[in-house]
Amino acid sequence: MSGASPRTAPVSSDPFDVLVVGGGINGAGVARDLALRGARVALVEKREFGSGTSWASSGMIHGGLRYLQHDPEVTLHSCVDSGHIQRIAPHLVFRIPFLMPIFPDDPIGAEIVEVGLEMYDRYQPFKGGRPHTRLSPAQARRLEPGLSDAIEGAFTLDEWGIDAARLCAANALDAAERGAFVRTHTELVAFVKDASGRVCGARVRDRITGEERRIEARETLNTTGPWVARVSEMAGAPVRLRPGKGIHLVFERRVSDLAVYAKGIDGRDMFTFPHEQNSMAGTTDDDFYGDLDHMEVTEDEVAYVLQAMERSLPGIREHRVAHAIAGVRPTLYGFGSYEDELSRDYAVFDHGERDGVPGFWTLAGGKLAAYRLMAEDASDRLCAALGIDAPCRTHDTPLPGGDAPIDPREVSRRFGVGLPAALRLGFRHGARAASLLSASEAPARTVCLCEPVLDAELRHAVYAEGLRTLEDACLRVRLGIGACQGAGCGARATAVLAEALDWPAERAGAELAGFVDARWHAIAPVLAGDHVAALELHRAAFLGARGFASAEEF
Amino acid sequence: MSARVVVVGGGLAGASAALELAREGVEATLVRAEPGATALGWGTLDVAGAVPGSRRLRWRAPLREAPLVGADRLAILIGTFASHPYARVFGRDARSEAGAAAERVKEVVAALAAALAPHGLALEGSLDENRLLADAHGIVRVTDFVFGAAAGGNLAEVPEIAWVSLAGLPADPARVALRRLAAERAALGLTPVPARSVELRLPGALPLDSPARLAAALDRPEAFAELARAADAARPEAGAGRLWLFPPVLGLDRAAANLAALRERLGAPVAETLAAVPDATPGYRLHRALEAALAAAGVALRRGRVTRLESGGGRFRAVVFEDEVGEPVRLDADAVVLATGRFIGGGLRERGGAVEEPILGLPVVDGRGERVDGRPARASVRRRYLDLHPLFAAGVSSDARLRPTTGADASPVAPNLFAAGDLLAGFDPARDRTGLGVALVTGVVAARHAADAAREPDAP
Repeated sequence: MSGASPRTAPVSSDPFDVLVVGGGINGAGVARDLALRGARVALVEKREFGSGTSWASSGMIHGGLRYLQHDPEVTLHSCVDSGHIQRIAPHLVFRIPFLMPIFPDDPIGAEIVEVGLEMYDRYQPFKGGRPHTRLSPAQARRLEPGLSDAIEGAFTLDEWGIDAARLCAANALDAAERGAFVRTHTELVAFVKDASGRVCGARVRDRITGEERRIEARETLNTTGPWVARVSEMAGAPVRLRPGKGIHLVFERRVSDLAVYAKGIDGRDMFTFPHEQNSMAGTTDDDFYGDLDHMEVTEDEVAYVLQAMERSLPGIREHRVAHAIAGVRPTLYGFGSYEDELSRDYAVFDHGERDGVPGFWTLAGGKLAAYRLMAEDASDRLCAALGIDAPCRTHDTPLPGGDAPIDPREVSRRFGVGLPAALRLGFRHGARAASLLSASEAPARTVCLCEPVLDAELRHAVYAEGLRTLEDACLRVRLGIGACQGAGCGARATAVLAEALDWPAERAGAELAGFVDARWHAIAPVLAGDHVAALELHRAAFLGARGFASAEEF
Repeated sequence: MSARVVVVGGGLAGASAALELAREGVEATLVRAEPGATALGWGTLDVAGAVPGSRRLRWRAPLREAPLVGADRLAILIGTFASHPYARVFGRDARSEAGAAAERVKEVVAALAAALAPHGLALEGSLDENRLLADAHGIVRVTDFVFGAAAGGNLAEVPEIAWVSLAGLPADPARVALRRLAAERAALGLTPVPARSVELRLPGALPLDSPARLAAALDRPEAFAELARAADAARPEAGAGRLWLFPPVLGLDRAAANLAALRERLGAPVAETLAAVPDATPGYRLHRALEAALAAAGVALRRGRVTRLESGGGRFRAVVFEDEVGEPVRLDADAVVLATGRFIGGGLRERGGAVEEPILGLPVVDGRGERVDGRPARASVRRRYLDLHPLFAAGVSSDARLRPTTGADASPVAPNLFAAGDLLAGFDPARDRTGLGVALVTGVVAARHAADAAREPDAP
C-alpha cells in the first residue's frame, strides 16, 4: 500500500531517518537519543506523552531489588542507569528511603533478607544510594510511627522517585528542540510500504483537528508499550506480549515519611511510598486480556492493595485515597508460572531480519528505570542500519532544565510567587523556572492550589511545550490531581488555556467536560469516606452553574 | 414552661427552622458544628432552581418567547419529581395548585429577607421574574432570588458592563470571561453590548491568593480605601454609565456598606459577580448574617457536635452534644429538628465502607429509593460524571410532616423528630440547584410541625 489519499500531504519533502510511533518513555527516550546523534526524527503520540504505562508506573528510578533473585542483570542495568538519570535530570529526581518491616510470620526471616540487601548494597553506589541499615522495632517506629506493633525488626534501603510523565515530556521536548518533529494526539492510521514491501513511514491522523498526513521515514520504530502487539500486527510483523495490569492508589497527601514495604495476601511485595505531593500504594500484577484503551480499576484490586498495606501500616484506611491509576506493563511474552517472576527485560526486534518486514522495528518490554539504556540500545541498532556512527550522548547531556541548579527562594522573591509554587516549578522545569516566569508580563496567578500550578506555567506548557488539551495538563504539570481533583482549578485552568490556545467557548466547555469526566474515572473506584463530601463540592462547582447539564451544553 | 425545640445544624435549613420557631414563640436552641454547604454558596437562592430539558435547558431555550419564570419551574419540579422534598411539602397535587405553592414560597422568602436585612445582607428577587446574573467565569445564571452585592448585577436591566479584574487574584483572564459572557448573552437572546475590561492593581500588602481572604481584608476601612482609590483612577477606562462588575471580594461583614460607598464614589451602578465554587465569599456572608439574625431572634446558639438523642416513652427527650472542649452537654427537648445536611455538612457520612446517618443511624435511601445505609457509597455511583448518580440524591426518607421514616413500613421514627434541608432524600441539589430553596422551605415546615409536636408532648 503506497500513495496517499488526497488529503494526506507529507510533513516534509525529505523522508525522516526514523519515525517513532508512541510517546511513552521508550519512544520519547529513543527520539531524544537519535536527535542527539543528529538523526532526523519524527515522534507521534496518540494521546499525551507518557499517558499509557509510563504514567501508571510507580514513578521510580529504582534499582530493581525485586528482580535481583531472578534477573540480576535487570538490577544492574537499572542501578547504573539510575545514576545517569540523576545526573541529567537532577531536578526531576527525589530520594525515597524505604523501610522494610519484618514480621514473625514472614516466610523469609530477617537474616536471609539481610543477605539479599547486602548483595543489593553492592549496586547502590551506581545510583548514589546509601547501604541498608537494620533497625529494632522501636527504632523503626521512631522513624515511622504508623508501623504495625507486630514487627520484629526492619531494614532501610534507598531508592529514587521521579515524575514519570514529566520525564517523558522532557525527553520529547528535548528531541523537538534538537530538530525532531514531535506531535501529541496524533495516531497511527496505517503503515506505508513501498513496492518491495519495505515500511517507509506511516499515515497518521491528528485526533483534534482530524487532519491526516503522511510521514515518510527510512526506518519506523514501534514503541507503543502495551499496544506493541496491535501496532506490530498492523505492519504484518506480530510481536507477542504478556500484558500485566497494575494499579496504584494515590493518597490526597503524604501518609508516611518513608516508603513502607507491604506484602499482599498472596505474598507479593508491594509498598506505600511518598511521591511528590502525595503518597502512592501499589502495585498489583494481573494478566490482562481487556481493552487497553478503557482500563478500569476494580473493587477487588483496591481491596487487595489496602489489605496488603494495612498489615504494615494499620491506620492506612484512615487516609483519603484521592484517585487511582491503572496501567498495563508491556511484559515480553512467556509462559511463566507467576507474573512477578517474568523478566522485566526488554527486546529490540528488527522485523526485516525477524519477519521479512524491512524498515520496521519494535522496542518492547523494559521498565522505567532502565529507559535510557534501552533507548541507547535501540538507537545503536537503528543508527547502524542508517549508517549514522555518532555515539550515544544521553548519559551526560542534561535534559531540559537539568543543566543548572535553581534557588527556589530566589525565584520566589524575584517573581513574587509563593515558595511552594517556586519549589514545584523548579521541580518540574529545573533551571527553566526563572525564564518561564519572566516570559509572563502579568504577575503569575495560582491556578491549582493543591500542586500548586501557576497560570504562567500553563502558558509555558502551551507556547514552549506544545500542550494541546486541558486533560494533558494533569500529566504535564500535575494539574487537578491533588486533594480536590480539579474542583478548584478546572474552570480556571480552562480559561487560561482557552486564552493561550484561542479556544471558542464551545471548545472550552468540551475541554472542561472531558477533564471532569477523566477525573471522575480516576476517582469513582476509590470513592469512600470523607472523599464523598469532597465530591459533593466538586459537583456543586461544575454543575452549579448549569443545573441539569447535559454533556453538549456543559 | 414553654415548649423547647432543639435544632441540629446551622446551615440555612437549621437557621430557617430556628427563626420560624422563634416566630412561633417556641424556645429554640440551635446546635451546630462547623459551617457546611450553606457557607459554600455562590450568592443566589434558587428556590425553583433548574428543571430538566431535552437538548437545551428548558429554562433557557424558551426565554426569548415565553419566559419560564420561577413559579413555572417550581410547578415543573413538583410535577416531575415525586420524591423531591417540594412534592412532599406541597403535596403531589401541587401541579394543579402551583399558584398556592408559589405563594407559600414567597411568604417564607419574605420572612428570611426581613430577618437578614438588619444584618447587612439583602435578599432580592421574585418568583415571577428571572434575573440574569454573571458569575466569575462569565457564565450567565438565570435565577429567582439573589443575596447582597450581586443583586444589582441584573444583565436584563443594565446591559453595559465594565468587567473589573484585580491583578494577581486567581480568576479567569478578563478576555476569556468576557468572550464567554458574550456567547452566553447571545444564547439567551440578549442584545449584544460590548463589555469593557478594567484591571485594578491593588497594593501588595493585600492578600490576593484567594477571593475569600481578600474579602475579609476589605472589611478594614483603610484597605477598602485603597481599592476605592484604584477604582476611582480607572473611571476613564470604564467609561460613563456602565455597570461595574467586581469579583465577589468587596468585604465580608461590610460588603453592603462598601458597595454603597463605591456607587457614590464612581457615580455608577456597582455589583459583584456571583462566585465560582469553591470561592464562596457570598456563602460565608450568608452564614455570618444568619448567625446574627438567630442571635437577634433570641435563639440560643451552641457550638458542638451532636452525638446522640435520648428517648423515653416513644419520644425523643433530649439532645446530647460535645462542646468545644469535648464535654458532653445535655439539652432537654420536646421536639428535635435534624438539619445536618448531607456529606459536606456531616448529616451523612461513609465510614468503613458503609454509608450512615451518624447521630441516630436513620435509614438512608438513595435517588432510586433504595436503602444505601450499611453499603459503600461507591455502590450508588455511575460511570460518567454527568450521569444521574443515585448517591447524590441520598438522604433520610420522611413523611408529609417531614418526620424521618423507617425503611420498612415508612412510619415515623418518632412523633417529635423532624428533618429539613439537604438531609432529606429524593433530590440532587447540584443538578437541580434547589439546595437552598429546599433548606428554606423545609426548615420552616419542619419547624411548624416541630412546634406543634412540642406543644402537645403527650399527643401520639
